[in-house]
Amino acid sequence: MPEAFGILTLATLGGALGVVLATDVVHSAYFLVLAFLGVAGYYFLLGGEFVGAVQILIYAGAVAVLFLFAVMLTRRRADPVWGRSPARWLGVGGAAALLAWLLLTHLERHPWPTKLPPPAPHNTALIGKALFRPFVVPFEVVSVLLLAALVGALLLARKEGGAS
Amino acid sequence: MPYFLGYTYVAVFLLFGILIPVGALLANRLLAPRHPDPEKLQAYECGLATPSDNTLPYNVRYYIFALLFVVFDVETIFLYPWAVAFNRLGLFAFVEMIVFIGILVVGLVYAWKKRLLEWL
Amino acid sequence: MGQPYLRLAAAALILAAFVLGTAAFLVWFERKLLGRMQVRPGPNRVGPGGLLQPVADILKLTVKEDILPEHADRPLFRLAPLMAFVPAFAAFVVLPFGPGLVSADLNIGLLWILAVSTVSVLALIAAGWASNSKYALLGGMRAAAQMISYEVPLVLSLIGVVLAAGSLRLGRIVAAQAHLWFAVPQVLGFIVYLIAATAESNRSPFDLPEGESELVAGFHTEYSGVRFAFFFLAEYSYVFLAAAIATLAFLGGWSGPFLPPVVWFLVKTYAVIFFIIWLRATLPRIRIDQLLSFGWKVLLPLSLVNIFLVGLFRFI
Repeated sequence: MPEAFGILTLATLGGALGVVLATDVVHSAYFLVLAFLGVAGYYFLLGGEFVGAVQILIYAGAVAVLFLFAVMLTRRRADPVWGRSPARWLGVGGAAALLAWLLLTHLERHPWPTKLPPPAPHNTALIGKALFRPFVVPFEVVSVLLLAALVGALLLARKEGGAS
Repeated sequence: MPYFLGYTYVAVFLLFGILIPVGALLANRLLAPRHPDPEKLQAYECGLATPSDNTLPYNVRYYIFALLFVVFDVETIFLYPWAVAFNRLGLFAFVEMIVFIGILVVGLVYAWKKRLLEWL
Repeated sequence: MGQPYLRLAAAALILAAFVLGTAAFLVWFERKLLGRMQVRPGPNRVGPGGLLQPVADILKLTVKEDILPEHADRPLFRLAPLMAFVPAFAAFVVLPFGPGLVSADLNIGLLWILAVSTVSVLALIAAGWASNSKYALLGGMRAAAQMISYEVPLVLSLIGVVLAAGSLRLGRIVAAQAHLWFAVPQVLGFIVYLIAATAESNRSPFDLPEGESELVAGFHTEYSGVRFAFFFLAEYSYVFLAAAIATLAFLGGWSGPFLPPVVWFLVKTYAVIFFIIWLRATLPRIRIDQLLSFGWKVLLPLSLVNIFLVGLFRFI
């Protein structure tokens, strides 16, 4: 188990570092996929198999494709890649350090469980029940949110498409 | 099958899936000839000299379809737990799901009416 | 302690051999069938009835030069075939060939196959982008647009099955069809699934990403040797997977009289594969505008109607 955790951590952190350090935006997108898959692995390790599969399906399968299409839409292969100016290093490094400080100080205060409950065999059905008993209002709000996202994004894409 | 044993299989299969192509590529490296020349390395082009930036600007439609896809993919993910638990949920959940899908169909109809589902 | 590890290694080795063997056999099967349907013999030189032709092809591809086109995006170009093959292979881990004949019987079996197979879209985009060729790029983008457009109806058409079986576990889905194959009450879902799965694996009449008369060979135009072979392997693995899911989810899986379950499973799967190849021999390629609007305006609403009907009948 610790070995699996170690490998997943390497993949996730390596992917995340790759996203920041890669000079080609398309490479960044693929490093991001690696990080997504690493996170999916954590979910499987925690016994949340449905969430893990969803992580792969939605993030690696759908969101990454959207990112890639967006990147390829705005950039051509011969375009110069990102520079590594000192200002960029400073900005990114500063933001990362701030976030790390915030997370670490918060994490210390929170009492985290050290033992996992055994994985539930009816994981997916439990999520289904939870969606329709205690969480039914948020569930319906999600559909409105998705609709708003859809209409908004289509409107924006159409405007930009018309302008170019 | 115990939960973690199942996923041990998955991990081993992922490892095998990587080892097979890596092994084949090693065999290829040992067996195949290697005589690169400038003509051979050019990207395919039908009778013309290959430009160095051999790509095309492409249609915004691709992006619009990707957007539609993300939204509907998220919707289908909510349908899976609903379908698995369906027999235990009853009529209320059925109606709730119809409302959920109905709201998203509004989005689809919007895209349809705005002629965004056409390839122009 | 030694026992489970032995089973694990055996399962992985057997399935690796099965995947490679099936892909090779499918190449022969498709070429032979297409030949017969077009009144020509098809491959008939290497081995009995040309059966060893794919083996010869694989050997030949292994000893061919691996060409990296100039100005290609090297790391992505090298990685793309792996990205295509690994998920295709990983999907087989949950495939049950008979009662108990499965490597890992995951609770979310069906969803696992759907989830990992979406990752290969990224491989096609990578191949198209990294090749520095306009044909490859167009082919890759088209393949991606097509796959994501048909992913939604594909996934939705299987919701009806999950709903009726009450589980994502493939063994349970087969068991739920003991009295009646889901293809009968859910004929609409079955049709949507077959069309979407054919489009999802980029096959004729939906083979626009590789339309050789306009795009040379699509996303793998610049690939040669072993790397090309792995795109090919992944493609045929997906054909088998698509037919296997059709069998498990709609055609009662391995159940059938007299013959052993494994034989029934393979017979049904190959019947579906035969149908998919038959489509290729019969239908002309459709246009991209037809393709996309058909997916979103016809298949998607139909798959929603299917879910509604299946849900409704549960209450009557």
